[in-house]
Amino acid sequence: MQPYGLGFRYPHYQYIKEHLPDVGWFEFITENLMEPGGRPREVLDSIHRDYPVVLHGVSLSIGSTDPLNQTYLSRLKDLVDEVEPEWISDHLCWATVNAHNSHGLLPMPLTKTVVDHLVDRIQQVQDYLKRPLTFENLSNYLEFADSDMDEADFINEIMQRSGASLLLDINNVYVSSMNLKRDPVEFLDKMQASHIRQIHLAGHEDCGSYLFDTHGAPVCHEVWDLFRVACQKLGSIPFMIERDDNVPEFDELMVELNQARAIHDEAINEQKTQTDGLRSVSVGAV
Amino acid sequence: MNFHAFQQAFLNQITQTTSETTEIDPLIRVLEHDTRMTPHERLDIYVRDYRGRLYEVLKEHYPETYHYLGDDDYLALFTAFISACPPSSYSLRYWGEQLPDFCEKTAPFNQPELVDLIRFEWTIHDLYDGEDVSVLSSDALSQIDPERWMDLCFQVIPCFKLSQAESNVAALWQSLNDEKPVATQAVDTYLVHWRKDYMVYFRDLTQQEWDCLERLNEGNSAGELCEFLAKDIGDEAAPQIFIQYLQSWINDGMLQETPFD
Ligand SMILES: [Fe+2]
Repeated sequence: MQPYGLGFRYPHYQYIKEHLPDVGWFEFITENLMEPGGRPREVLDSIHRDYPVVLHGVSLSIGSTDPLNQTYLSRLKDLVDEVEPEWISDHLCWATVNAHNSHGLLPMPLTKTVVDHLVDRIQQVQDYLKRPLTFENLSNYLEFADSDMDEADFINEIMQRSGASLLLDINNVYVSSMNLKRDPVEFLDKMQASHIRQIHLAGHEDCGSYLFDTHGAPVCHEVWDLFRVACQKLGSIPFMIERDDNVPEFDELMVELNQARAIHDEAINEQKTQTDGLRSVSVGAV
Repeated sequence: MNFHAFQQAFLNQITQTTSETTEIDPLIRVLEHDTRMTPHERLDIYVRDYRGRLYEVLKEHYPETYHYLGDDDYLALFTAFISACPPSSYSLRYWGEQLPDFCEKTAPFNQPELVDLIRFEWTIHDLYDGEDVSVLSSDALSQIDPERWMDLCFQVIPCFKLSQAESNVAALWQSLNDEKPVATQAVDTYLVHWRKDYMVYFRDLTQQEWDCLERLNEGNSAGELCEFLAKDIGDEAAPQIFIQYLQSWINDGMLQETPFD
């Protein structure tokens, strides 16, 4: 499977089927596919005949203190068993309390207690689905007075203990860092490379006093720079462009995807040259 | 505050379903050297996100209701609905399901033509992604021994619904969809909705055809349906009308392939 992917959006369906563009894989939104039939499932099956697919959910609510939603889990299991995606992901967040579902990606205090809670829930879901899960880091707009860990340590510990992996959203790293006055490179530096399964690249909106994650604009140059840093550190990890609002023509997304490919390939080549260089130095020393 | 209590306080604050709005501010860290935003303004980002997401979803599921009402009245409907029926399902696909009943019992939204339109739109949304099945073909039917015909029971496809309305809702929906205004009219209406080839269709029916389809859906055999029609139009005409109906239901893809055993 080639590492360069795209978030599948329905308006592009006809174009993709007619042109079979050079895309390594497509990511589908899980909740759009949980009903048994009709157009959404037909479209997924049709794309899956030509491309690998991954499933990306928004409603698992893994951090919630409500019991896990059994109906959701059983539908997810049916879907996953039928589709056999390359991997499945959701968000490291919570949405529901007392059965009131905000459908948001809500933040949590970064504490040991919350880590324990998440690890326990992730393991329950992984056992039920009989496969590992991948979780995405959030765009944050605030932090809690209770937090006694930084976000990188929080995520690393959850991944380490649960066996889950990280969907590293580089735009979210940038948005959170700007909103909370942090250094995004330091965050990337601290993330444990072996935990990272996938990368998201997306755009945001500058609201003056804060940045808001919209997936409605092209990737900005700061996020491209961070992507370069991530590729240098991580090597080849599947990456994709995520666009939900103001979805442009397919060609325009391909331009962005090609830009990502160029950065990725350059970073991998640099890494390779360095490794070859080191090898020749050590051979020379012998 | 334990984690559960924290989640309750946070959700109450961002959905503003209770008046306890002071509790959460102290939980949010005031960022050093950052005077751009207060904790309350930071929380407000989540409030707007919650409302904005649900506003868009409801509009997507009820596009012609939105056109019918216009921005201000639609916003009033949304605001009343979100506080009376906040989402509880894991999927926003189902959130708007309660909107027709909510409107029916809530002034000033309880106007029959509005309630009819909302029910009509929910049906379209609801049939969109139901289970797929093979449909019955005329060919399959012609293989059956004519002797057995009157005993046959037909089955509608899963994405099928009969409904009634008190207004000319199908014409209203179509006119909104085509952006050509039509006057609403109080009239008893009989409708069928079904999905074929990934499109949801609807048709106005006579009460006779509607009654016939309802009985078919309840398990009546072809013979029983002919008997039912005979009460209306006589023994001689009944089988002929039934065959006409059956042919159109098959052509429209409303019936599913059945083994007829
Ligand atoms: Fe993302």
